[in-house]
Amino acid sequence: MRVYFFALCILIWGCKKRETGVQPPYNTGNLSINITYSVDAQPLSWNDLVYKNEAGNEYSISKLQYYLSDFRFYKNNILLQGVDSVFYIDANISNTNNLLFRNINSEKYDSVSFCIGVMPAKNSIGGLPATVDNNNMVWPDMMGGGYHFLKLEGHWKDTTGLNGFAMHLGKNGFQCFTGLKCKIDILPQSLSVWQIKMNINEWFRTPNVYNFSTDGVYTMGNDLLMQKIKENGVNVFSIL
Amino acid sequence: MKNKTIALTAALITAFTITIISCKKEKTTSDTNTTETTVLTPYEILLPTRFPELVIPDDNKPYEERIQLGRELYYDPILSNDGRSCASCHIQSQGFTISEMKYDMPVLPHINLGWYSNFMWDGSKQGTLEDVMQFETRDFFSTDLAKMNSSSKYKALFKKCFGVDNITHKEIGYALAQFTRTLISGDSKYDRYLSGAIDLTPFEKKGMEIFYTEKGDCFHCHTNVMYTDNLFHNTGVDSIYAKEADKGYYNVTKNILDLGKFKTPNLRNVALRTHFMHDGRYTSLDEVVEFYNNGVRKVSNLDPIMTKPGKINGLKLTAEDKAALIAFLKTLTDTTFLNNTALGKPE
Repeated sequence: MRVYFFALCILIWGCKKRETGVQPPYNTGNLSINITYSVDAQPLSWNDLVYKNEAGNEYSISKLQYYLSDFRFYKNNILLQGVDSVFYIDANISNTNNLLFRNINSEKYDSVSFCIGVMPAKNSIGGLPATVDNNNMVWPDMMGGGYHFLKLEGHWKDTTGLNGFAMHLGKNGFQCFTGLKCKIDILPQSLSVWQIKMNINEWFRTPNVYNFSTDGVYTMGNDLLMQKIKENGVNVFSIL
Repeated sequence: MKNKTIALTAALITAFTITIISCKKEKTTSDTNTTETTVLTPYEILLPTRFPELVIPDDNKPYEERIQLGRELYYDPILSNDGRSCASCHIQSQGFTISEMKYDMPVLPHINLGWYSNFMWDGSKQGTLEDVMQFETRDFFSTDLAKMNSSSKYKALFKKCFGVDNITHKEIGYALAQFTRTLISGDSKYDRYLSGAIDLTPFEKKGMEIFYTEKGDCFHCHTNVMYTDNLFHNTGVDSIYAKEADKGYYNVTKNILDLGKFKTPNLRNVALRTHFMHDGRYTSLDEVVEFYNNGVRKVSNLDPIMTKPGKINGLKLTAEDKAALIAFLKTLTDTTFLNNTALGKPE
């Protein structure tokens, strides 16, 4: 009898590989953060000259690409989980606006913080996975190195006609840290969805009213202008 | 004792046999890229340092035999009905383009195509390399399939490589994609400078600084290492789009905001070219740089990157700056690529 028990053990041991690494942890779930866009009360419509910012500039939007990273999930002001992922987002490519977090500890989180941009540890050329998208976001070494944190581009109407604007953010020190209150209930082995919205006009509103006419239309290489945009970035996201 | 030993041995043999049988499913033939008689040789495309990952469709993973078939086809006028092959307009020594204009436009070079999803100056072809190469054989060359299928050489090669008895445009396109995906230029003087193998001259470095800073601001479209963002921009070449071909991406989207937008051309080996812009209006790098310096036309959909304050109509570089920028552009010439015998006409 003992002999057959021994043989059975060998049989189980032999097939053990099939049973490992397959089952998801029972105390975690997945989270999808879905991002939508507006310009105050108006929906985002590409290249339409229908928006007006706080300074009164009439403008359109042709490009909105950025990174989100360093997500941290809190309950009662206690950090319960951090996520080391960096997400590239092109507002015009829908699947990049759904951020998937796997194996988040089951918990009822009440606030989330994150970074608009790439954290310094990864913000050097080659610090992110070698993809075409990341390559297109490179911020040249000669200008500080790393990646563009934000590319917000479009056209605006001045007294002479249409002109372009390019609000680019990058370089260590210009990461924008923000956070939101939330009610995220991560249930074991299930997918929770949290929807947030970026109000693009907030990039030009608080605390710095940004005026294309007097501030400038091109931020890259201008720390003063990037600082204004960075500070305004704190307020661009809200829960939907 | 002896009986126990025999029983134990028998049990062990039984257990192992059951284990092997029960676990057999794990040993699947995961890669059955074989024809009736041939096993293809997987090929690893080596990427230059710093290059983005190459996304290759699952149904056309690289194999040595398929790449060689694509190479044969690339250089063979059998593809056309008028004596032309791909290589007629994509000459290796000229950077896989040609100094002459074709169809009133410069021929875009076959360089690093594997990373593209937009093709042609106006983006009229989009998708994978497999898609665009099927267009080349089916529509551009109108390859005579009867002729292909009557070739004993190609019948055998396609049978060996794709397992087909009847050659179609699909297999031809796939084979061409296999080869053209290996046309990778990543060993220019500048690449070697980046890897620390050599140094640039001070003048070339001055040009590099102009290229990679807001002074020249070339890098936003001619991006890091790839030298194209694979996107479309209106850079103020025209203010009136007199010819259909001048309308660019508009001809694809019919969106008025896309008027005059063209795909960013790859700058690798740019110093070998003799015609620039979508219509080849400039015939030297001096002319191109001068355009960006002082000739940009203000149009309503001019790319936002091109509309810097104080730089209306261009960059306002000095003569020395312009010369330095051109000196840097010449460091993007990749002689390894131009002389790589594995990419040349098969013997």
